[in-house]
Amino acid sequence: MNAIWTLLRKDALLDIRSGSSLGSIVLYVVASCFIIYLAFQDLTGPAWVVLFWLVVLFSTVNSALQSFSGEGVVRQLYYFTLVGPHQAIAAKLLYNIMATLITVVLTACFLSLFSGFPIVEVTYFGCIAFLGAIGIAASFTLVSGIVFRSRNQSTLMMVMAFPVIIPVLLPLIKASRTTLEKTDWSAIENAVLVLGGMDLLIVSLVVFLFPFVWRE
Amino acid sequence: MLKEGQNWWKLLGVALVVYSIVAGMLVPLGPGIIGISNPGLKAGDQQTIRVTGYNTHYSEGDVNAWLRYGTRYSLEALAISIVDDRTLDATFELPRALPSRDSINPLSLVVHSSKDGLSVLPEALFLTGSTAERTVEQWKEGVEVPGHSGIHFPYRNILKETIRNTYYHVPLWFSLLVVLALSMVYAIRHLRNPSLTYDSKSYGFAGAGVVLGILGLATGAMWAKYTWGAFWSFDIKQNMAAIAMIIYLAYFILRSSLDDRDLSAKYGAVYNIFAYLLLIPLLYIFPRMASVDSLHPGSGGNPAFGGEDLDNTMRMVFYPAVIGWILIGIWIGQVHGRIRRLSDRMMLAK
Repeated sequence: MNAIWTLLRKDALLDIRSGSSLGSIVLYVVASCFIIYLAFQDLTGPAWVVLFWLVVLFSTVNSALQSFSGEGVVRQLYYFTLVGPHQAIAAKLLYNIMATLITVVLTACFLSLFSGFPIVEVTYFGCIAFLGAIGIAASFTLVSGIVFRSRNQSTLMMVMAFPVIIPVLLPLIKASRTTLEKTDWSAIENAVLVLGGMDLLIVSLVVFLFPFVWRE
Repeated sequence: MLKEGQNWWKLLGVALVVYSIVAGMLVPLGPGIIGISNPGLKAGDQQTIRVTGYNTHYSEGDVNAWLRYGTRYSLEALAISIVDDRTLDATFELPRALPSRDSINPLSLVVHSSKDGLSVLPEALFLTGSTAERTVEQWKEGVEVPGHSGIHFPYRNILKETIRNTYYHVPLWFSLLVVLALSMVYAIRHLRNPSLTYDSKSYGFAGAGVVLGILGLATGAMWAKYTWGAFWSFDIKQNMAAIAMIIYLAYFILRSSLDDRDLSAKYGAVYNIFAYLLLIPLLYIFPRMASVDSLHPGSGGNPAFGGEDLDNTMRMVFYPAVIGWILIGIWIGQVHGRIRRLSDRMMLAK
C-alpha cells in the first residue's frame, strides 16, 4: 500500500513539475470544446453526450501512452523490481484513473462553458462517468502497456485502443443519454451493472496480466 | 486428443462438412402456403379463397383445408377445387358468431394433402363483422389429420429456402468460439511457460478464428438480405460481431508491428486473452440488453433453437455440420500454426 502511494506521488509530482503534460491536457480539452462550439452552434443533448466522451477518449489515449513511454523501459523495470509487479501496475492504474477523472471534469466544465450543460440527472451522470472513467483508463493502461515497446507506438495505440474501448463506450454513451431527461434509478440500473462488470473484468485482467508483460 | 499427425478426425471433419453441404442443399423443403388471394373476410358469408402453395402436389391425392381459430377451434372447408399442383380454391361457410368478441380475428389456414402432408399459414386471414354474441357451435374442437412421413426440411414463412443456411451460418460461429478459445488456452500456456511452440499454436488458431468469423459475418449478411431485407440493417448482433472481428484483426496488427519475436509472442498472448474476454460480452450480453431488440434469433424475445425451429430432419444435418465445422476449424488453425512455426525455424536458421 505504501509502495503504491509512493509511486502515485512520484507520478503526480513528475507531471506537475514538468507542467507540459497537465498543460497539454488542458489545452487539448479547451481547444476541442471550442472547435465543437464553433462547429455546432446549438448542440443537442445526445450530440453533447457523444462529443463529450469522444473528447475524453482522445485526450486519455495520449496521456495513457505518455504514462508508459514518458519514463522509458529501463526505469519501468527498475520500479517493477523495486516494489513488485502488482503494486507497480496498481499505482499506474490508479494514476491513470485519476488522470481520466480529471479529464472528465475538465471536459464537462469547458464543454458546458461553451455549449451548455444538458444533463438533468447530474448525480446519475456523475456515477456513470466515474464508472466509465475507470473502464477507459483500465483499457488504455492495458493497451499502452502492450504497445509502448513497438516501433510506431502512437499509431499502434490509436489502432489498438479504439476497437478495445467499444465494449465500454457503448453502454457508457447509452447510459449517459438516459440522464438527459428526468429518470429514476431503474432506467439506468442495467447499464450501470454492465459498466461495473466491464470495469471489474478489465481491471482484474490488467492486474493479472501485467506481471507477464513486464517480466523479461 | 486431436493430434496433428493423426488423420482420422480431419477426414471425419471433411466427411461431415461435405455431408452437411450435400444433404443441406439436396433435401427438399416441405409443403407450405405462400399466400391467399383475399385475406380480409366478413363473418356470415360463404366465401372462396385461392391458396397458393409451395412444393405442393395438390392434384395428386386427397386435399382438405381448415381455418383455425386460436389453438382450439377449427372450421372445415365446404368444398375444395384443385386448379393445379400449386393452386387450389377452398370455399368456407363462415359463421356469424365467433368464439370471441374481438372485432378483428386472425385465423390460420391449414391444408392437408395425402401426398405432401400438413402445411400451415399462421394468421392467414382476418375475420371482421362478427356479431357481439359468442358461440362455438359451428366451430369444431381440434383438427384430426393423419400423420405423414417423408424427409424434408420444414417450410417457414419468412425463411423459406434460406432455412438451409442454419447448417452453414450457425456451425461457423460455434466453430469460431471453439477455435478462439483454443487460441486463448495456448496464449495462457505461453504466458505460464514461454515457448514459441505454444505461441505459434495460439497465433494459428486466432487466424482460423478470424477466417471463420468473416465467413460467419458473410453468411449472416446473406441471410439478413433475404429475411430482414438488407445485407446490413444496423442490427446490434451484426454490429457487435463486426466489432469483435475488428478487435481480433488488431491482434494481427500488434503481432506484425513488434519486431522482437519473443516480445511479439508475449504481448500477443496478453492481448489474445483480453480479446477473448471482450468477445463474450460483445456477442452474448450486449445484444440481449439493447434498447432496439436484435432481429437475430436468441435475443430480445426472439426464439433461438427451440423444439419448433429445429425438427428431427434438420437435427440430422445440423449436429453433424457443427461437429464437422469445429474439426475443420481446428485443422485450419493447426496448419496455420505450423506454417508460423516453420517460418520461425527458417528465421533461426538464417
